[in-house]
Amino acid sequence: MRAAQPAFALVATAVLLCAAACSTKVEYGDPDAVETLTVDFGSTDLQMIAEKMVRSLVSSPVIQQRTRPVVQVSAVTNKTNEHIDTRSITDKIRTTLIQSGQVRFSAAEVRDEVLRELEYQRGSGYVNPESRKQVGKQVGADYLLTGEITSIAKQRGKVRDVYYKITLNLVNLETGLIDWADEKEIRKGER
Amino acid sequence: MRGGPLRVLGPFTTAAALCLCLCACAATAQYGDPAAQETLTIDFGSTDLQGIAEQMVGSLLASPLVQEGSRPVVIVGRIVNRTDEHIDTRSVADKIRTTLLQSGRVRFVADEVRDEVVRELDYQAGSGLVDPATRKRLGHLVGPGYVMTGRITSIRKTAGRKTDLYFLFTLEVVELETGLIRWSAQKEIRKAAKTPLVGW
Repeated sequence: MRAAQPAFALVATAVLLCAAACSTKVEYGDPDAVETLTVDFGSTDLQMIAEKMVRSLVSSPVIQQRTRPVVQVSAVTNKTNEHIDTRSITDKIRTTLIQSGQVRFSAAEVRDEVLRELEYQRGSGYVNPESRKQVGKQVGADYLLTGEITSIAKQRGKVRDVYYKITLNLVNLETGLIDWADEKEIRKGER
Repeated sequence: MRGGPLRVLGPFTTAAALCLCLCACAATAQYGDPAAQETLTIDFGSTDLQGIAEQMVGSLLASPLVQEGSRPVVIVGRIVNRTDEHIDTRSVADKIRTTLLQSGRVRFVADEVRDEVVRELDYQAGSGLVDPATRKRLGHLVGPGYVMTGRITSIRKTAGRKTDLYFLFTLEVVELETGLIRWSAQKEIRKAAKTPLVGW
């Protein structure tokens, strides 16, 4: 009976450990919290990039000197070695800028759909003529927003270092010149 | 005799195992200073990129080409990677371009979206969907006066456990009308690595 007690303690320990290690626990967290689970591109990177770019763009002469310029989001190329949805970065920037009221955006991604709807309203015969939208009233964009994200990923043994650089450019559609550009550099390490 | 050696070992083992588990599972990634010197490996890194861009921008802004206050219009051409490793030379060019743009003394044509700019201009002018009052005018694209081009080369040597790496970055600004190189600068970088006898 005496020998059983230490054995029982060991079993209990093992069960406890197993329970701690094996059971998955899901809980909600703060989406704004700094996420450093791995060194890979994460939500904190996305948020930091958007914040810096919005701040830089809103304080730039391009936005300050023109009355609510119309911007069209173009591709931001992912040139890193990992999967990054660059559209979610430009979406965050676009939404924040729209909410600021200082910049307008034309929705180039639904152009075909807009055209189909206009044609439906005009040609189907189902739509009340009074509520038909006029064709030829689209607002032409003043700028294209483009850019790219690159990275340098290094590893030595278990130590990893990742350097991200995202560059955004605002291209004047009439002149073809870059009227505004900024970059955000990020370094992350893991050991 | 109730508390044998194993009895003491029980909680101790638990604590040790928990500690190990925590160490292994805890987030180990952390943010660092992107401007900090990075020497994790000898390969091309962020510090090299930043050093090259800084030297090129400094040299170009001090050159007569930019000093005249003419705000020259430049287009970024090819920067060839002639080293034995993968280097995103466009990222170097981007850093130089962004810094020069922010100085306000050099203007750049967006070479990478030229086709898209023309497509959008055509849409505004030709689709019949865009309000004529907001259409962008055709024929007002600014023609660049200069093209920026360059190369990065390297010499990598190894003797035993020692490696020596030499980078040479050359950047040139070519006047489009005359074809002459109006400005050129270089950045040399040397890095050395010594692998330990044990470890990596």
